[in-house]
Amino acid sequence: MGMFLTGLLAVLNIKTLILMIIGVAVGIIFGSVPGMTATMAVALFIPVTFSMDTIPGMAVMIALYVGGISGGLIPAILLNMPGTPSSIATTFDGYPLTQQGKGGKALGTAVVVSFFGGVISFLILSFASPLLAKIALKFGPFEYFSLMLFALTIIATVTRGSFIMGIVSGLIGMVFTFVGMAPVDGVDRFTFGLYQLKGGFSLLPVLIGLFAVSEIFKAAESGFKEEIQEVPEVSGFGMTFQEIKEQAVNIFRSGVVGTIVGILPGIGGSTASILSYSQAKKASKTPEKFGTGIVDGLIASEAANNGLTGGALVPLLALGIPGDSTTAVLLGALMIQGVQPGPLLFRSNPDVIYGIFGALLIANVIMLLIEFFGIKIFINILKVPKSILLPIVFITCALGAFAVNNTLFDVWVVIIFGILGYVLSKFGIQLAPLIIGFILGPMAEGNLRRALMLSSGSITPMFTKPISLLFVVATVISVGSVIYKSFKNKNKEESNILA
Amino acid sequence: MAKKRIGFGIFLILFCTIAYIMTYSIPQRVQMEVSAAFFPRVVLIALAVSALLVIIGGLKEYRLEKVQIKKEEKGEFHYKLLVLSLINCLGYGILLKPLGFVFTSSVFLILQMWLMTADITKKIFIRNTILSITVVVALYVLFTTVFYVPLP
Repeated sequence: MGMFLTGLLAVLNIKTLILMIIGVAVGIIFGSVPGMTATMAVALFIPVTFSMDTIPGMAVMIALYVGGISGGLIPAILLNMPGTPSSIATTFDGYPLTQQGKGGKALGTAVVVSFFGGVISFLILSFASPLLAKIALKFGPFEYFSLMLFALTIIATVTRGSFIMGIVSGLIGMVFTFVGMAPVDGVDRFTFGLYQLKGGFSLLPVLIGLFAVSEIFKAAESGFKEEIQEVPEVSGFGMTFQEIKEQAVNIFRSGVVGTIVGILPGIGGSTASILSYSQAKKASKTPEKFGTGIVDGLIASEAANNGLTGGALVPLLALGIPGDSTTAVLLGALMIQGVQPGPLLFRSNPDVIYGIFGALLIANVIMLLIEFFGIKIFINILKVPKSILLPIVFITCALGAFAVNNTLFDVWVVIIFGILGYVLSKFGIQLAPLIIGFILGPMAEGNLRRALMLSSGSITPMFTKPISLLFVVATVISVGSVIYKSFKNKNKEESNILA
Repeated sequence: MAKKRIGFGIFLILFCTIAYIMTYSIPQRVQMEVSAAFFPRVVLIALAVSALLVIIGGLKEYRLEKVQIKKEEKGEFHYKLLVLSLINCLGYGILLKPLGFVFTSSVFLILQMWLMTADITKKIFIRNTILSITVVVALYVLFTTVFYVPLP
C-alpha cells in the first residue's frame, strides 16, 4: 500500500498531470479518427518523452494508451465505424442506440463503463500482476489454440439471422488471412508472385475498408438521401446510479474478461471486447435483444477494451512480454528510458512500477472527465451532413492505412475491402463475423501448427492439458447450445409460416 | 434473397475448389509436422460444406417464399451514383502516387461531396471546395511536419 501511494504521488504533480491531460486528449483524438490507433499515438509521441524523467514519460505514454483505446467508442457509437480495432463490438449495440436517438446516453454509458473497466484492470494489475504473469506463462500453443477455438464460437453469438451465414462470413474472414507468408515457417501462400502480398493484409486497412469505406457505397446505392439526425439532449453521464447497480455484474465480468485477455500476450483488444460481448449475451435474460441497441452489449464491449489496458501491462511489466501492439511500443519507450521490464523490475525499480500503476488510475480519471465534458461536443458530429463526413472519413482512412506501413498497397486494401464489404453485405454476409474470423484465424493457425510441432503431430495434448481441456469443453458447450437454439428457432419459424 | 443465396453458395463452392487446388502449389518445408497448406485446406473444406448448406437453405427458403406471399418494399437503387462513387474511389487509388496526396485528395473530396449532395447550389459547391482543400492541406501538414509520415 505504501509503494502504491508513493507511485500515485509521483504522478500527482502539476507538470505530470498537465502532460497526462494532453496525452489523454491526443489519445482520444487518435482513437476517434477512423484509421488512426492508440498504437500510432504512443509511437508518434515516444520522441517527445526522450527528455522527460522515467515516471512522467511513462505517464504520458499510459495517458495516450488509455485515451487512444477509449476514443474509439465515439465513431463506433455515432457513425457505426470502429475508431480502433478494440471498438468493433461497440458498434453492435452503440450505433443502433444512436439510430434510436439515444446517442448521448450511449456515449455517456460507454464513457462511464470504460472508466470502470480501467479501474477494474488497475486493481487487478496492482494486486496480482506477478501471480497473473505466472499463470499466463502456463499458456502454451495448445492452450492458445483451444482458447482461439472457444473465441471463434463468438461468431455464432454476434451473428444476426442465419447462423450458417455467420459461419460462412467467419470462414471468408479466415480465407483472407491465408494471403501472404504462413505463420511459423513463413512459406508464401496465394501471393500470385506479387511482393506486396507477401506481408498479407494488415488488420487496420481491412477493418476500416469493411466498416467505414463500404458506408460510402451503401449511401450511394440509396441515392445519398441526407438524413439529418436529431441531436439528442445530453445530461449527466447517461447512466443513473440505479442502472450502474443493475449492470454491476456485467461491468465487473467484462472488465475482468478484458483484463484476462490483455494478460495473454498477442491476443489484443478486439478479441477482448468481442469475447466479453459474447459472454454478456450468453448471460443475458434477453439475448435476442443484443445487436438491436441494448446497453448491456455496449457495456460489455467498452468495459472490456479498457480493462485490457491494465491487463496488457501485466506481462509487459512482470515478464517483459508485450500483450499487444501498443504495449510493444510501450516496451520500447521503457527501454529507451533505461528501464528493463521483467521479473526483476518489481525489486529493482518499484518506483517505476507503482508510478505506472498510479498513472493508469489517473489516466482513467482524466479520460472520464475529458470524455464526460466532451460528450456535448462529440454528439454534434451527428449534425455534420453525411455528404461531407463520409468523404472526409474516406481520406482519413486512406491516410491512416498509408501510415501503418508507409505503402500505397494499404490504401488499395482499404478501397478493395470497402468494395468487398459492400458486395458481401448484398449477399447477406455480415461484417462482424468476417472480421472476427480475420482476427482470430491467424492466431488459431499459428498456435495449432506450433502445438503440433511440439507434440510431433499429435492432437492428444489438447485434451490432456487441463487449461486446454477447459476451453475445449467450453467450446463444445457453446457450439452445442447455439446449434440447439438455432434448430429450435428455425422449426418454430417454419411451423408458424406453414400454419 | 433465396436466389441470391443459391448463386452465392455456388460461387463459394467454385471459389473453394479453385483455392483448394491452388494449395497444392504451396511449398512444403520437410521438417514441419503440418504443412502451410493444412489450415487453408481445412478452412476451405469447411467453407465449401457451409456453402452447400447455404444452397440447401436457399432452396428451402425459395419454397417458403412461394408459400408466403411477400410484399417487399424495395427502395430506389441508384446504379449511376454507385458506379460514379466506385470510379471516384478507384481513381483515387490510381492517381494518388502520380499526382500526390494534396491534389488527388482535394479532387476526390470535391467530386464525392458533389456526388453526395442532392440539391447542389453554387454556394454549397464553393463551400465544399474550400472545406475540401482546407481539410486536405491541414492533414498533409499534420502528417508530414508533426508525425513525419512522408506522404506521396
